Amino acid sequence: MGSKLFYYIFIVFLVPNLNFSQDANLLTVEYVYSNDIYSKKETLVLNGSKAVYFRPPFSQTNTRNITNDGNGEIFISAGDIDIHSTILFSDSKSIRHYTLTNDTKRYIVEEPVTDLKWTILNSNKTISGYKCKKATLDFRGRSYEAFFTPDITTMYGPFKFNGLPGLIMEMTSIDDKDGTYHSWKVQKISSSVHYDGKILDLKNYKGIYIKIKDFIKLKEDQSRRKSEISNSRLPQNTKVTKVVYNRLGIEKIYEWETQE
Amino acid sequence: MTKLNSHIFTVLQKKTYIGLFLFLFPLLAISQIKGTVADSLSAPVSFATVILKTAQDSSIVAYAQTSRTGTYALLPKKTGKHFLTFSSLSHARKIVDVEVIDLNTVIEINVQLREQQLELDEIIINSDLPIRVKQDTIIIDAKAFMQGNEEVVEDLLKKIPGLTVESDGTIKINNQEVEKVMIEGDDFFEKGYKILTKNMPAKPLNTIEILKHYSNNKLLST
Repeated sequence: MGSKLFYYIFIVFLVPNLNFSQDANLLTVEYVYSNDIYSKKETLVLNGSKAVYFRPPFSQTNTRNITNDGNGEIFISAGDIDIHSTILFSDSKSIRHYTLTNDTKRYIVEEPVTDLKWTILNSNKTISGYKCKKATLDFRGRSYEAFFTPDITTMYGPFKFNGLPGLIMEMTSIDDKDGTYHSWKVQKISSSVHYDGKILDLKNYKGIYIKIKDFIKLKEDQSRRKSEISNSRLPQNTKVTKVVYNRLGIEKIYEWETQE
Repeated sequence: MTKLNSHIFTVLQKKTYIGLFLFLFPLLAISQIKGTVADSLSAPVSFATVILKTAQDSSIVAYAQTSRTGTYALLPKKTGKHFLTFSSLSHARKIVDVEVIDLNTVIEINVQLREQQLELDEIIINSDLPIRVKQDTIIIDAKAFMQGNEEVVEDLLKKIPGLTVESDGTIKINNQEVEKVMIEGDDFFEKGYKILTKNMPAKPLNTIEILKHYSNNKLLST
């Protein structure tokens, strides 16, 4: 009876360790992210089962555009751009982003993995010696074109663009009717381990857990409050007739918003 | 009363089972390619990518990741010659030919992958890197580092990794002071670059070149 017990305990300790060696290989991929306003280096670090994506912050003070249409109406378009640094944690079940809000609180925003509906085309392109295949995707209000290489085995890519059977070398938004665009291009790929495996583990980061739907609402409430405060400072006899919020970021529409 | 109820329940159960079986029977015959991926020690390989391609033009038909227990399942779309590639970051790739004879049978393909160290030392993809080194000169693509709140060139230089700017404006790379800073290819002040970096506005810049060390031969040529 004793030896049987020992046998079972031995198995219990052995089994979880079987996958350990597969998680040891870390791949670091540096992307250059560009949009119509700025360009920045972003980094993807991954192993077989998870990935971390680092997006640095960006802030820019822009002048507010004020146009007077002559009928007593004035149009004011917003100025400042303030994008906080984000770290995205992806695994097979969910994507969590560690981010700051305007009130400098740290949040861990959670969203379930929605299987992205990639369409793989039979179009090929060679990028730096890697044979790449073309794929297209519609994601949260934008259309994208990607070139990925099955020669580098990973399902992870820049930002939230996971799910292709190979590393995304280039990803570009196409057909942008609002004048904005977003693109990612690989600059460097390295398997030398610069990072401690700990950075892949969300447990090492502290923040308030929140679901993405609630987080988007929170941010919009914060923006609304901000504009209410500035509207309250308008001179007498002026009235705000309409406030339009245009999302110019990567994600323009969310799934739950189209399900009305 | 309870005896009657349990009798009905058992009968219903039987009917349900038969009904389910009949209903599912056609589903049991869908075509599928499935199997298990293991390593040389027969331990399951999870998160390996399995891709089904047509032999004719290598177009991708379907793909999947192996589960925690190393299993995968793919649905072929056409009959004919195909091949499966099994790949993983920690193992050598394996290719297996598959012939899909009809779309009604399940094909089982199990593979064993050999462990392999990932060998991707450092591959630099684009030639338009934000920082390029050409012999003694470091060429910096200013726009890649601009955050928008830089006033003068010095503010921008402070953001470049590997570069340190001291309070008096001395620029050092790896603790070695630089000799020259050139803006858009023009060398204005030689060692007096501090006037330049402390006053020139950062906004319109495209490239900044930094000369790491000044060749002493120049002094000898007089």
